[in-house]
Amino acid sequence: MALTWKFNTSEPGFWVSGVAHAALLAAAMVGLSSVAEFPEAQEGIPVEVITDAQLSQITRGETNAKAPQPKPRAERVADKAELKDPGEDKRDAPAPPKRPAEMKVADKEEPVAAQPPPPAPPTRSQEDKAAEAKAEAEKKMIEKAEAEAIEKAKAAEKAKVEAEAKAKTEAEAKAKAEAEAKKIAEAKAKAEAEAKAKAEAEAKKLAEAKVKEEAEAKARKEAQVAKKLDMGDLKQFLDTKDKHQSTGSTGAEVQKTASLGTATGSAAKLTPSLRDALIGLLVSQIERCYSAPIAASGGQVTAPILDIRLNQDGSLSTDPRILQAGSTSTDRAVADAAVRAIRKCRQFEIPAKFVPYYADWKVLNVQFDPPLS
Amino acid sequence: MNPADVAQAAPVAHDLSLLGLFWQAHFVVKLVMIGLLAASVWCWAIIVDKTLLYSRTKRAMDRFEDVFWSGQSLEELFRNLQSRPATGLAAVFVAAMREWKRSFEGSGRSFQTLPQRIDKVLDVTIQREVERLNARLTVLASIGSAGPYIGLFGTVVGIMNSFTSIAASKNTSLAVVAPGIAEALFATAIGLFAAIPAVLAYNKLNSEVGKLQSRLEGFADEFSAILSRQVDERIGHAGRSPANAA
Repeated sequence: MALTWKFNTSEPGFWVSGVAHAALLAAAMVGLSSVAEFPEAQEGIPVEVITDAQLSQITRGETNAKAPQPKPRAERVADKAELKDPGEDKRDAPAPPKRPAEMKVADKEEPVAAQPPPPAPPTRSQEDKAAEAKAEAEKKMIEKAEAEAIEKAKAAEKAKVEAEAKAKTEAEAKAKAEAEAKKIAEAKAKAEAEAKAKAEAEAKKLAEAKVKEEAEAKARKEAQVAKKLDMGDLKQFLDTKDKHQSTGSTGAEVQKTASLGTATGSAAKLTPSLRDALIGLLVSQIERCYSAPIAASGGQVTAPILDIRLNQDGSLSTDPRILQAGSTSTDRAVADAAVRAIRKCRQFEIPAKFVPYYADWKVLNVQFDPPLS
Repeated sequence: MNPADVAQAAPVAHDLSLLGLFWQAHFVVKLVMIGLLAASVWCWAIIVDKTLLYSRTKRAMDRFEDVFWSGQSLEELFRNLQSRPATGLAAVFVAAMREWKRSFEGSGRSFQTLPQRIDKVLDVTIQREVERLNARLTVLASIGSAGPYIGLFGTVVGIMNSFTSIAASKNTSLAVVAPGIAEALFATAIGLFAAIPAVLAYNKLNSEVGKLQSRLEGFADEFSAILSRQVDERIGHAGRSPANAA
């Protein structure tokens, strides 16, 4: 029975199957054309569960952490510690140039200096005032001296003219007298001229000194101003266009490397023998402070268990407590007496060898066996 | 070649839709896919045809048995059925009746071996009918057993091809490997798609053929019994009647 290409109602298998396959393929092409992508995988975070006690005693870092970076080699301690953040640039920013105090300032550079000194700035110091006053006084003195000299010279001229007129009028009667008078007058004039020249030289010298002093005062004042508010420097500082050197160290992720911690991974613990020794020491010290209550003088007593909390130096960090005591009144009395004894002792002597194990003996439960008194 | 470039280029180069998978496949893989798809079509054609044929045959058998046991005269029934080609029970009945008729039509009445001859005819007819029902079921069996292997062949060729590509590009990124393997596995998928219905249908249709065959045989035995009774009756009658006649 061969497959027939004509549609046959009794054997429609080929056509039915063909059409069904075509339909299925078409549906698959439409339905499966889009590929479902996997969701983004979330990585799990490893979690370790530890108890409170483990947390309090933990000193362990990350076991597989990288070794901390070695410090740069240093052979002596630097005088000036220079601490830089990791992101800081290697290059040091140059400090803006500063004018030395004694340096004289050129007028054109300096807006303050450009102002003429005579208007007397209101912020003039005492020294400046004094200098100026002195200069003024000197000037006055010079002027006075000059005036005096001129007056003297005038007087001398007048005297000379008078002497001449006198000599003319008196005629040559007294030639000797005249000559003498002339001689005197001349000498006088000469002396006067000399005095005048001397005064003039002095005045000149004084004037020079004054100018010099003035210049010096000006320079000093300007230096002071420059020191106080250096506008040029500020301007220069503000004008620097350099960006901030540090933008913070960046990376693919923030570094969170833990420190390596110690090799042991937890605080040192007392060995049983050490613990016994320490408790024995404590008990013997308590016994010294202990005075047995009268009720406990005879018979069996249940040893109380006491909670003692110590500081590193052996002093009590908190008040001692009774953790466990017998049921009878005697037992209670003994326990209370023990607590009193501990309070009385206040400070215990802990040998130095126990100090490294402080984390372990910070809290001690001591069974206090009362001594038979 | 920069691995990053390959990784970026890979999603662009590989269209992961069905048509894309088909077109990117190797030549041999393509042939395998087409062959398996054709096998699937053929297989379903056979399934549909056979299912219809068996249900038709079963209905025909029901109808024939109703008529046969309704007390209608066998001669009349034979006359009705003789005119057109019969199948199933009708074919068995017609074959037996024809042999029966022939035995009486000839001049020499040979009743001695008539039951044996009728049995032979019935056997042959049943065999022919069963053969007709069974035809092309072997195709289903073949597709069912060989389909996965053919698909696997396509997959192996595809994966080989894909691995040679990996070796050539020197890149083992999953983005490079995955499309080739996906298209290779597509061949196995088609093979299974063709084979699974074929196996299921083969088992179902085979068991139905067995049922029909046993039904034919049951009817043939019954009819053979009826005819041999008739023959015996006729022999007894005839043995007396010649004597009577003589």
